[in-house]
Amino acid sequence: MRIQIDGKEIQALPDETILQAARREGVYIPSLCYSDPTEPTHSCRLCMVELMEGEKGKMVASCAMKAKDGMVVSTRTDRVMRVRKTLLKLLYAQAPENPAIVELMERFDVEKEEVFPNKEGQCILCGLCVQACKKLGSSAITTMSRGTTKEVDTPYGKEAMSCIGCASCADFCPTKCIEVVDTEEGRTIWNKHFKWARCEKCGAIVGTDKHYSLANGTEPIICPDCRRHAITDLFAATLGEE
Amino acid sequence: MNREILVCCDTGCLVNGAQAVLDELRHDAIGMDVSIKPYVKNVGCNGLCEKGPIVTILPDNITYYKVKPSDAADILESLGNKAVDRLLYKDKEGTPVLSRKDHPFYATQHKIALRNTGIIDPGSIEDFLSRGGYEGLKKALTMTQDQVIAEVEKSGLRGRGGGGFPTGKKWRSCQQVSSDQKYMLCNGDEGDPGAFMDRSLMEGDPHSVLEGLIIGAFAIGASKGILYIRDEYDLALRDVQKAIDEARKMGYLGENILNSGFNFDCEIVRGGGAFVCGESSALMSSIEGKVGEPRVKYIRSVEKGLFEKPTVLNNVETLANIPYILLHGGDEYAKLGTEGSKGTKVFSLVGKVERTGLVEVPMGVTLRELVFDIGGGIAGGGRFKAVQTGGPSGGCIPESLMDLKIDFDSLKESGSMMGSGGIIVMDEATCMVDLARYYVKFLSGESCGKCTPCREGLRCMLEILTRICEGKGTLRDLDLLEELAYTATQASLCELGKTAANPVLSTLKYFRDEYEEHINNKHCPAGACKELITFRILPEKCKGCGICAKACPAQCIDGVLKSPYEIRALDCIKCGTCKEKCPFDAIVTE
Repeated sequence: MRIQIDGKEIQALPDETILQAARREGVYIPSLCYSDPTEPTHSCRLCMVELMEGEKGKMVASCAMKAKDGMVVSTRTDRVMRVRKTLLKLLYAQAPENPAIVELMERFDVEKEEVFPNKEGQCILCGLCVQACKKLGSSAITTMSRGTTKEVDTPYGKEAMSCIGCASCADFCPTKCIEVVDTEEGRTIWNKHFKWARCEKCGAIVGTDKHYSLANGTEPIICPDCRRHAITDLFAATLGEE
Repeated sequence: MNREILVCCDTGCLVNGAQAVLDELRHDAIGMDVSIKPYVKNVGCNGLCEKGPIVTILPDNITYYKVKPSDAADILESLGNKAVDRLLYKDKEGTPVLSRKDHPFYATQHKIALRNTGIIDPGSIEDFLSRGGYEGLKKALTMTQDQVIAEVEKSGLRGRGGGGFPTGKKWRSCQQVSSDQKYMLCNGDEGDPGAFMDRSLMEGDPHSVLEGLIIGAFAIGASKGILYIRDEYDLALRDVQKAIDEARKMGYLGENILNSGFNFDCEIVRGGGAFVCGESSALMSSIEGKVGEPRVKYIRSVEKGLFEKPTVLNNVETLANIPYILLHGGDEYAKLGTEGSKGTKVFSLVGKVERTGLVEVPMGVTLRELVFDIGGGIAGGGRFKAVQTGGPSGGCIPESLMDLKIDFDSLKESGSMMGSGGIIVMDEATCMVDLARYYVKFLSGESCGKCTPCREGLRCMLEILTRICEGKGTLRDLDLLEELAYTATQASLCELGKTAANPVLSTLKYFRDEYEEHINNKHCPAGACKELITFRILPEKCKGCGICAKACPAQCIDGVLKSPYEIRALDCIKCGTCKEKCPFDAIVTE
């Protein structure tokens, strides 16, 4: 399947979206809420492109639209740029001075001024953290309420029983606004404190205790390095080497 | 001769005391003479909710308005004799009008979807059957799926929930998909402020909706159906559940329906209480037990809908039209309406209009006919300003476009939309900026909050509109509003977001001068924006009665009896109570 993006012809694989094909082929389309391993949320809308079909053209989210053979896509028509610039201003109002957004604004010549009333915090509600938690963690966080009061939180804002402290949410967050405090003793995330799981042999941190026990059950805690050493030693002993 | 006494027991009339009227009539009728045996029954919405409780006597065709329990004895006594004059509608000359047919509110209406409401007892399947109920289904079951769909296609019926997608085409595309399981859904999650078309249908004639659903299921080959009904609609939930139970008992639902070999059953799912759940994909998420958020629709729900199976979702009113179309033929239905929009449409006429209520008219009548002929013009003799059609996602239509023929396409062209059928009439006391702010506020609370242009766009639009209403706006704000509206329209994920800016865009288009007046002169021409008005007592008109001072909740009106009172402007909370209470119109806003 071949599609054309901004005049460049690229190969699209079956069932791929425009954005996936573009990324794989190295064509840049901005996006903050898309990540390959997680389920797409289609929420930030920065990846809007124009499909050049018919007289008018059609605005679509490239993260949602499946590529079709012969598709002609443009990522910089006036319509696309107008929407993208306003969206960036709206994102900036949600996460003022956030490096990820400032970088995009600079890239698309959007002036860094307070056009729209600012919001508290740095979260742009893209939903990546929720999807990451669902896929890699334990569905401990979700979006709460709706409309302009929507936010990401643990159930009832309390310590989430199911949270394992893996911090996948924070890793995926494009604006890096999920607070993770790591100390010698342990980790605090989403108002919940976790103790470190330390290697029984060398004392290295292998993750939080909850995270480790969920993945390994009651097995003794051994870090990857020590595990490798143990296996090497076992081989050596079997082969009669010291 | 025996008489039937129909007491409207729809929500509107119940609120006005219909239950007491019904009880009283039933109680008093017990001992009546055998020669006139009145049969008192409760029925669904009569339409003219403003004048409820409404009582109709059959076969004389006499309709009484604003009936009180104390009128019961007189009504029963009058049976077969002269009608009770004081309860009749009086025309302009003061002549009492007996029959509903001659009442200007009903005279130009044409009832298809509402053919049974106000006439049958919604709780009685026998009543429904006596009016030709389930005959459409019987006929459909003797036809092939293709024939049924062809009939609906011929009728030109378009989705009455607001989208206006051709129903036959939707059914056809679902029928053509092969699958082990298909679903037929009914959208009863009516959420527009001021709209009650679907509620009245479900409360007044639930079997027609059900019959439409069963016919649809047969046409597309679905064996399971769900009616998604708004949780706040208590009576509708009760009546539809009863209809399902009775239909099942009589063999219209279940295995081998009417010995045709066709199996279909359905259940009610109560809505989750979110406006956005009326959007098709959010509705399906909600049924699946997920958060009611819309999903992208590049794959159509007729291919992958509920639980990823082919699904057809039709609005309540759409389905109520189906049995009629099957029974009388698509061509008959298509005789009514305009080129692109066939048949009739039910509207709920509310706002500053003389006669509010439920109206069904052929497509193509003008807004003027609807508001002035049927609605009787502006209540209280004020001046007409605009109508809002299509609910929060619709737009405002000014006086200059009042001769617009109502159909899907012309309303869209004007910058509004058909929507589900809410018509809100506004007079000169309505501020259009304030109105836009009201709708944007509604939507900012009801948006699912998933995508940036809708959630954040609405948040910012609301702040800007509030600023303008408070006299703190600038002319640049108008550009910002247009920018936000453009982005929401172009980039939002679902239809709610794409149409969310309509109230702003249409008021900016037709009433830009009002925005500019707020900004440039810090003045609200309608006298509605609290921050921009002051209340003042005209000393020459004030008789010094003191009523205003007593009524003032802020206790900021001073004076001595029999000499002009005065408002302490600094303490005034601008609630308007004094103006409302003053018997001499001595209080003005400036």
